[in-house]
Amino acid sequence: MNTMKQIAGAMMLAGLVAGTADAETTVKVLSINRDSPEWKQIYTDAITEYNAANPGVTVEIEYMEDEAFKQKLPTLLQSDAAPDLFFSWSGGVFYEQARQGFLRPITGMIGDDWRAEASAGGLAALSYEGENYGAPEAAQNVAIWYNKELAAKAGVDPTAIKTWDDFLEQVKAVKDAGITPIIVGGQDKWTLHFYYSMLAMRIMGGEGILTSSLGENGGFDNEDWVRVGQEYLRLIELEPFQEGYLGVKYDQATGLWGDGGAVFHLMGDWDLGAQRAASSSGGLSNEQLGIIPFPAVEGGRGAVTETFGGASGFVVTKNAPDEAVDFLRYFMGPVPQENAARGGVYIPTIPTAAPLVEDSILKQFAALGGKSTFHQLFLDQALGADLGGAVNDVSAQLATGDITPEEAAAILEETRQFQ
Amino acid sequence: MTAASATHHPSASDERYGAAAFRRFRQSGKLTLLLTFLPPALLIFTIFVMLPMLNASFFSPYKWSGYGPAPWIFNADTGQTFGDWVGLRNFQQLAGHSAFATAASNTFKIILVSLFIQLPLALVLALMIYEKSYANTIFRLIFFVPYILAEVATGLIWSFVFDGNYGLSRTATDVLGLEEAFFPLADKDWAFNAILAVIVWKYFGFHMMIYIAGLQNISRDLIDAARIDGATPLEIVRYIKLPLLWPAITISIFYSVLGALQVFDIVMPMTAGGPSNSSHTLVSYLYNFGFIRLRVGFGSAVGVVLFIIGIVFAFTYRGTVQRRIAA
Repeated sequence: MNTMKQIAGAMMLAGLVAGTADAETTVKVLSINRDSPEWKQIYTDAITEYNAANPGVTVEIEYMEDEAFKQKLPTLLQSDAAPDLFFSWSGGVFYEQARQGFLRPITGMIGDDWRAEASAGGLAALSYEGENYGAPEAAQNVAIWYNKELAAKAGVDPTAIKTWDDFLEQVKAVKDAGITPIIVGGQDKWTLHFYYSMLAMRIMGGEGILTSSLGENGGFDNEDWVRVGQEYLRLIELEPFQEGYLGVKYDQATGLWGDGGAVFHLMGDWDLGAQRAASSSGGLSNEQLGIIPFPAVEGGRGAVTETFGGASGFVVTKNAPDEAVDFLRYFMGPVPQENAARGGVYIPTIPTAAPLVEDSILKQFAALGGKSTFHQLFLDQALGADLGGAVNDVSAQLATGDITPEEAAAILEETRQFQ
Repeated sequence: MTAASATHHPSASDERYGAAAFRRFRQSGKLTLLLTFLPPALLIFTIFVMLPMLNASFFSPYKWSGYGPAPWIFNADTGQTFGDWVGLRNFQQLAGHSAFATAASNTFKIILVSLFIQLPLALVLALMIYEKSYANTIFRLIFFVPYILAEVATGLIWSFVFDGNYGLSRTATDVLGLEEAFFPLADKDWAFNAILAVIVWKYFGFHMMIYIAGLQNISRDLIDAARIDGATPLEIVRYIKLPLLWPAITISIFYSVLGALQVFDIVMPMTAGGPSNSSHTLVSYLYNFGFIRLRVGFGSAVGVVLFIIGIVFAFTYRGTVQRRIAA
């Protein structure tokens, strides 16, 4: 009886293997538009090479403009035309796709060798409730940028900033020198949420934020979150931002920054190009710029090496064949990412690729990411669209003096409970 | 079916009258006309107006992210429905949300400003330039231009005007030699007032045109007669023009209130509802707190509230003010 079963099993297996070897499998990939030609070339090369090396598989890629992509995806995922792999910014929308079963869990298919070559933080960003659904491509990190010339003019040395108090002192010194300390595009509340979130990271650590999001230790309504609000208000009370900061979006704000409008700017690595594109003077050169990690908060439990930013990559849909997962590994693997690093296309997540970045500023960001002990995804994404939106709201409401740190903590906890 | 036969009057004469009316109706070719033109209109109305409205009310008692065809449909992949039934919770949350209260009061402010500033302004201008002349045509065109502009473009243009860094606000500051630039959109006390000003600017031309059309329909004889009787120009306006214009005014009030309930495209580029949610309207609130935050059920609840306000106003208004005109 047993032997019969084994024979039958072996025959079925042989049939399956023969079937996959004969049939041509198509892997459909859907990406957002890659406006940078270098980035698109990396994709094209990866696909050409993979197709050549795997005769039974044909990978096809389609590009869609960002907004169209966001709008069409929910419908597309429910249809027969769903792609096998698609681009993801991770965060709230990704969690919802995973929760509703539109994605294929691939935890079992990620072997030790794959885990060793990929970024642990990046893989974590594309996982939901312990299951992996995709692999990471680029990472974004947020740091404090400073304008070297203006800092010298104001008589401060940003590299000496180790603690939040140091930072506040320098902000005050800059203000006293008659220079705008910080540029922020406050109409986009997420720019303000960077301060609030990074203070949270330094005060309670990524672990603490996770604990709150699970509703433990009072959820968000505990003394740590109240302290976050208090430290944030210490900054707000110095009136550190440019005039009218609440009426300006990020794009305009980074233009002001590029025009030399302030000493500090808390922003991600993408700002290097963004400030040049948005400024009226061509922007700041690498030589004029410096970056420092967000400082520690006295008595805080979060290490300065914990990073905050974004992570993006590709995820697998529920009906995707195994070949799609195999391609994903190659697509998000060392070869394309090292090319990206060398070409300065984006900051890769693969640890062996990051040191290859050549641009003097991006290199510092890559180093920041390389040393990262914990990568916290932007809170407005990590906590889901609703609670994340509430974090943005309270960051703005604290800045306008509408609510107290205690009320902010209570609002966040109330929103969490409603989820 | 005609109205007569549908009401089931027992008398035989009524029956005959109904049948005769129907035959007349059919022979006149009106039936063919109706059967040709009514179904497409009805279909479009049903698909694009009635169904979305019904959908919104069906979605409103659910917590639903918008993924899946509908919240009550079973999702085989998770073993649950796509959304969760939460009953009236969305409405309760709405009632307790301070940003919703602000959005509602802002929408109410738009109605007030439309009725008491925009419409009088439109009326005064219409009285000044309704008569046909070359100069008046030019003025009419100028006043009407803001209405032609797309809403989003209007919002963007005005956000540049109010920008204290590079915009007109900066130039004005420099010209006047003031120390501090004016940033109305960044100031909680000013942001929504700035939006109100833009709304008045954008739509007064539309109402002015309604009034001009109404004024041009008033017979010259009446006005001449009044003048011969010794009426002053103000008295002519008060006793001749305004009463005869009243039907046009009621229409313009109707449009103005329903339009106020729908303001969205101007708010988004100017303030996006900020600073700290102080300048939301009901629709921008719906969009930001419903759809952007993946809460389609909650957004639908806001939509239902908005629909009820609109429908109550429309029926009350048509049943009272406009009926009096018809009578």
